[in-house]
Amino acid sequence: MEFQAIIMAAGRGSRMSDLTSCMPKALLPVANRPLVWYPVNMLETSGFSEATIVVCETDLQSILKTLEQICDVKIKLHFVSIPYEEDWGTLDSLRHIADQIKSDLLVVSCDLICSVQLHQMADLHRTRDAALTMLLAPSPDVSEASVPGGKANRKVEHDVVGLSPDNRLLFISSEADLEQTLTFKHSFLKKFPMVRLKNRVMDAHLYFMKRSLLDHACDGALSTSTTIKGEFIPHLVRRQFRRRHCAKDQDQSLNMTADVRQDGGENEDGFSRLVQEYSTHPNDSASMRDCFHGDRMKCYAIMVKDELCVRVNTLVSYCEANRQMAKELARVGVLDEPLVAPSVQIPSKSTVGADSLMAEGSSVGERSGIKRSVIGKHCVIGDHVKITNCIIMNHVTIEEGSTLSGTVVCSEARLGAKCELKDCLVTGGQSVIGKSTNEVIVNLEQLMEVE
Amino acid sequence: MPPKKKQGNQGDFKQEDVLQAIVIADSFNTRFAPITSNKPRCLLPLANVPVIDYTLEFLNSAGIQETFIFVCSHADQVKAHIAKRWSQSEMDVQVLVSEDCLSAGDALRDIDAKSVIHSDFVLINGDLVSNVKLIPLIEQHKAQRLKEKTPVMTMLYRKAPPGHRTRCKEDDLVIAVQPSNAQLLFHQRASQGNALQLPVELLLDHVDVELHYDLLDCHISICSPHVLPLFTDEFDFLTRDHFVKGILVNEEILGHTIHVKIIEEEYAARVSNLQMYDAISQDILSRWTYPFTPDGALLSTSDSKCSHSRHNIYLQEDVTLARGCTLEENVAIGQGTVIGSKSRISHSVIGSNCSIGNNVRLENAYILNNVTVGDDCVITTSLLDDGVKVMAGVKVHSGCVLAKKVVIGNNSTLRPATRLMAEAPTDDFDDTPGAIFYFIFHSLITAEPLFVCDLGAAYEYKESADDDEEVEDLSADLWGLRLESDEDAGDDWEASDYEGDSDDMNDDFGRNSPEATESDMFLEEVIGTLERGIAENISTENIVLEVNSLKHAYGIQIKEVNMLVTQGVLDLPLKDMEDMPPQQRRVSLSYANFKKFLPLLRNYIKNAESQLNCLLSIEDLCSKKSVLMQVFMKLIHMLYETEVLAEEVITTWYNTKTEDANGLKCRKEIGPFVKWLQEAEEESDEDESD
Repeated sequence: MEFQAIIMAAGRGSRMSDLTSCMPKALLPVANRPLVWYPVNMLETSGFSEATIVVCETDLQSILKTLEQICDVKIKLHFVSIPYEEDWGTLDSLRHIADQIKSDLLVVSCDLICSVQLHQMADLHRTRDAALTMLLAPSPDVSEASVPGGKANRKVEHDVVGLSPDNRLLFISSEADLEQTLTFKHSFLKKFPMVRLKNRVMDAHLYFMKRSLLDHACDGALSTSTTIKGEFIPHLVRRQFRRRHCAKDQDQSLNMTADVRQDGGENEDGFSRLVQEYSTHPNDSASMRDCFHGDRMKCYAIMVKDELCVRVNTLVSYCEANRQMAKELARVGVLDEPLVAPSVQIPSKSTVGADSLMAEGSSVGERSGIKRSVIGKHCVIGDHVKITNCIIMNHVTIEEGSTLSGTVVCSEARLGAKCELKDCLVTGGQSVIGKSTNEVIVNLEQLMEVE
Repeated sequence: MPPKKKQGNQGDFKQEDVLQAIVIADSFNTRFAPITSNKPRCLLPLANVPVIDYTLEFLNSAGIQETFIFVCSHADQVKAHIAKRWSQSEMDVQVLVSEDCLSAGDALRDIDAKSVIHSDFVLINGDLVSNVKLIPLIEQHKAQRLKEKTPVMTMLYRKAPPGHRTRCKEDDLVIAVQPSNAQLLFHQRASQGNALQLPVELLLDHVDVELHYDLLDCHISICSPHVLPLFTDEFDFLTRDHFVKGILVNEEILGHTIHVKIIEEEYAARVSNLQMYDAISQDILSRWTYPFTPDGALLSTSDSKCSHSRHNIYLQEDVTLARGCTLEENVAIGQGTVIGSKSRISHSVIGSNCSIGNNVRLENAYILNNVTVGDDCVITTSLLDDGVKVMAGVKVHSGCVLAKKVVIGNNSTLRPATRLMAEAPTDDFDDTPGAIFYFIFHSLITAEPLFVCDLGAAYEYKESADDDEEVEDLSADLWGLRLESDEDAGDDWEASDYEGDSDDMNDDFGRNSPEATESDMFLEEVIGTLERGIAENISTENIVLEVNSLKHAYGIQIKEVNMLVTQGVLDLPLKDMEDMPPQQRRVSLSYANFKKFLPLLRNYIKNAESQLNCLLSIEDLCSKKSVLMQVFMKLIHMLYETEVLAEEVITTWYNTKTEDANGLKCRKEIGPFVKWLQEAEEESDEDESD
């Protein structure tokens, strides 16, 4: 594709700090694959041969190692590291690499798991001559999901969007930012007589952008903005309705691309001029003016319907993603992998449900039962252990007689005999004994460090 | 033959099976005045067929079995027409008369009292043209009612994007619909100049909302039987809009919902004003309303057969077309009409027994029966009632309405949007409340003093100014002038769109325009209050109270209030001054003019800051009104004398540097006065030192 792909993998995972305190967000295992594998895989299956991946300098080595050695990624990855100290937002990162970007770009967040056909979006982006095309999905309904650590973790941020029937993105705001009323000007209604307003929408953080937007992002007016979603996108969406003459000065950058195009046209021979004249391709500035109302910048959005689209940015979405992916790995192109690694020996009196995953090197004791769970590598599960609806990461030891449900156990944790955990989160390297419900079990020393 | 009487033996029917309809045949407004002063709107011919026939034929062919027509004014004419035309039809048509109804709400209450409606019914107006198939929609309504219990009404809308010719300002509306069950969530007439404010709760309560500005209200409602009692219970419901609003607001209390059906293929529109009359006539001629077309068997009566030929030319029998006349496109001509040679006619309807002279140009002209148009006339976008005589060489342009038997003299030219009638108003002329009439002696634009009317007099019809709030809408809605004004309005809107463009980071989805309009509206209200204050001699305290409440209503800052009140107070004397010759102006600005409002001004202009604001506001006003500049010094002097403005403030203001041409001019103007002030001050200083 003509797009330069950029994966934003420098996020801290601040919405699920309990999980990310011991491991970069990009490497959190989802169905026994690091999170960042999903966008990389999506690009690979869509035909990208290379991609740029922005990571935090502290995580560079681990991500590099994981992706290239463990996951066997064929796509060529260029790693760009950004300083840990300065707490850059996604827009900062984009500005940082702006001079390496020569063509239109595709920006995707490392926490997106999705089965949308990228070429369909790219087609819309091209045919409409869009400045921005983004992916939206219905917010996951988590009101019923069980969450480790209680209901407080269940809050989800919604967006409210306005779309025209031809998918123009006319309005975007987070639900929390809305005021008492939404104001629609008459001229706006005249241009867009039918607007579909949708609440409980999630921005999937997948954007096709024109190269010219980058220049715009580096522009003075936006110098204080740091994030793509929070500031840049709403700015672009509003900017669509700027009147031409007052936008002139600041639109120099956008003009430039248009000029280049026209200069190109002048040098061509008469025949190609004729082609341009009769073409209805939107690059031809005159022919499509009416239907786009002469708007120079157009934002489009595609709403995910049946495809899979999950963002892993909170604890609850992390749990949901694991549960969902255990069943639906095939939808992201993983077809022939057995649910339980062949090397795993399951004693005849134990059961591992068909909705569970077990990675290689793990072992299960006698008379144990595993249902709707994901078990990582090299885990040791003792006898008489019941695991339901859990996520167990790598190198976890669960001793005999324990019962776990709705619980996330991070790497190298150790659960003593006869533990009973319900809806808990056990952070990395912890040793746990006894009973707990709805708790986050953290190492106090570690907590101090974080604070 | 009288209409069939069915009362008393309704028991013979299986009541649920009878499909009923209510036709409100009175419009309760005067959009078609002065024509409607002697003829009800529903009998106005539309492409040579009375409007009510379209409505009734629509109901009849849609399968409605029993129709009640509700009439207030000119009931006898409607009754006679129904008896003549509809007594033989399959559908049972009954005329209900009540002279004292003032609104559609009254009419429905009246019908409820008569208890003739037994099941779901169709509610329409007597000026509807439509070819919608009603039965499936009624079925759908009933099915939804069985399923959800809450729906009381299904309203029909037709897709008509902005700019569509059957959209008129009056019917401009925005609705919000929940797509899953087509429930109406929000309904607002788009009042001009105001941005739409959509309550956010709507979005929070309903995840998915469709906002439509691309719809035309067909004024067809399928109602459940609860609707009538709801009207009876709530005397505030004057119109269907009130009803809709009431239902939406009280949705949680009453548990009623309204649903919406959007039609795209079929036709429906209401002849609600002249512009719609024009648009619908053209739609009928170009056959959008099929099968209800002039040549169709459904509408034509036995005594007038109509032929249809290429370019949508419809001719009834006995039409005489002189050699060399051209019927260009979309023309209907009634029985017995004669068209002179070299006349060119397009997009027009001519009634029966008319005589059109030679070399006449008709475009978008609607000419009813027995009209005479002399040679060399040009008539565009106008409506001529029965028996009008237009002599030779007359030009009638954009939006004129000539009522019954008006005669226009030779070579006159009528101003656009003139409405003339032949009869003086009579005492019991209560159909057009408060109309003002006056005599026209000569043609209005041509220099020669010709009589418009050589047989009597023509009276110009004007909507009286104090009628009600609709007047403003009406002037914007004048037929023929509408398009231009519409464009202007659009430009105004956009001009205010992005004023603060450099910092549009803060400009959240068009939040900046309402502010400007609010202060304008505030100013307007203040001026209105002051005018009323003079007229009704209201005490200053009360005016202050009113202004303060306005301040809260519009959310205006106190600083701005000071400036706007100053402007408002100055506005009235300025208006008077503009009409005066220059030499009188200076004299007229006297203490007396201001006396009334001085206490008001004092109430707001107190401390130094507000005084400065007051001065700045006057300066600002100077740049807009040159008249004020001429009396600027006198004004400031007066304000100084009356101790509204303190000396220090005036000098401070005078000494502030300005680059603005207007500001410099003001300061130059005031120079002598400030000099005088300073001298006076020095003197007083000297006095003190002595």
